[in-house]
Amino acid sequence: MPHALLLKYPGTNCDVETARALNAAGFSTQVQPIATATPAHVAKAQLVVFSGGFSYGDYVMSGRLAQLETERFLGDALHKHFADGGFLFGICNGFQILTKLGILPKASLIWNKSERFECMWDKLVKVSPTSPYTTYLPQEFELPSAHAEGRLVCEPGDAQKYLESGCVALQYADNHNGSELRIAGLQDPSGRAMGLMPHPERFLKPRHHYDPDWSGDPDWGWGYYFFKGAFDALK
Amino acid sequence: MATLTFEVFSRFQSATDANKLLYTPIEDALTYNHTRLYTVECEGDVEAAKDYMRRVLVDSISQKVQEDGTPALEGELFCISYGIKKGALDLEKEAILANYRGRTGLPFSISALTITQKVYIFGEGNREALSARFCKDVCNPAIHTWSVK
Repeated sequence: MPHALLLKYPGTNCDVETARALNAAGFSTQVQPIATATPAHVAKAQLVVFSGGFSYGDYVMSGRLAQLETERFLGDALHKHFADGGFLFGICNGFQILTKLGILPKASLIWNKSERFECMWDKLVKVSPTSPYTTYLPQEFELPSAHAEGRLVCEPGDAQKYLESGCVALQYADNHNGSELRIAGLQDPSGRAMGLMPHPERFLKPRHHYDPDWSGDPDWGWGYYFFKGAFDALK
Repeated sequence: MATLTFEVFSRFQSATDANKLLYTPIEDALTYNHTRLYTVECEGDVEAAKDYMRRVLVDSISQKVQEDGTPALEGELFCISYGIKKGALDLEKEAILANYRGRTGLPFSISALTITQKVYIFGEGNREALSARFCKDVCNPAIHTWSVK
């Protein structure tokens, strides 16, 4: 059974729901506080997950202190895990951490264009045909979003390069936070590392949808299929 | 002992409606922008200390940093500088210092870190009255000290 390691930081607040989603997809899941995490924990996992929240209170900038503490406690273990074929998945604050760890294409997530925290459902468009995380998803689907620092920015010209090279996994249909090229999710060229701002773990069951009559899928919400896709690619 | 300053500001955020800072809007057409000023007292290899602090504080894609001690922004009507009172818990400072203390073998030592938030107000109006109004709504006397320039 594929094993998932979910790293938890002071301020992480979506670890329970994310662990539940991983377990529902079939993973054995270990939630590990970063202060007691070791390279041995990473070595045991096929998938390393960074869930949503406000790690270290988003001090300095979102994800920065989590990145520094991850490097302090785990050294190059995550880069080794990735080089050895492992998967990494970052959701919301986890996406912000993954971008800073240098595993995803170079980008940064800054304050929304509105300069406010925004909580809403986002319509998303699947862009990359190669992502294992989005294999089972329809071309367009919805997920809940909740973030203040979700506006993706890149060095000049990089966003277009990412789009052309298949590194853009998801785009917003309605770009409320002002991200470059409407990018909602990025992946590395192999697709094994992916980060996105919306929260798949918050749409695990059809009853989680805002419309009680939602009929997109009889058994699962769209969020489930991110975890299921990763599980099936790893089993 | 060397004193280093890092005033960090966004490449993407431009001045915006200053009424966002106030509980009740004012008629004056003012805008604001904000930066964060980190002041570090250190000893040892100063260049290594600068490199470490830049890595901690600055995102090269989305931010710029001013390190010469001059204000990062100019042309303001006034600027409010505020920070956590001495003796009150500054969680951001503690989180940065915890990372620093957890690293072994650094060729420098940090003896003090002060974090100041700077709010630059742009436009025209009565500087004294307006700055008092903004300080009242931006700063919290229970936890902050502040100055206006």
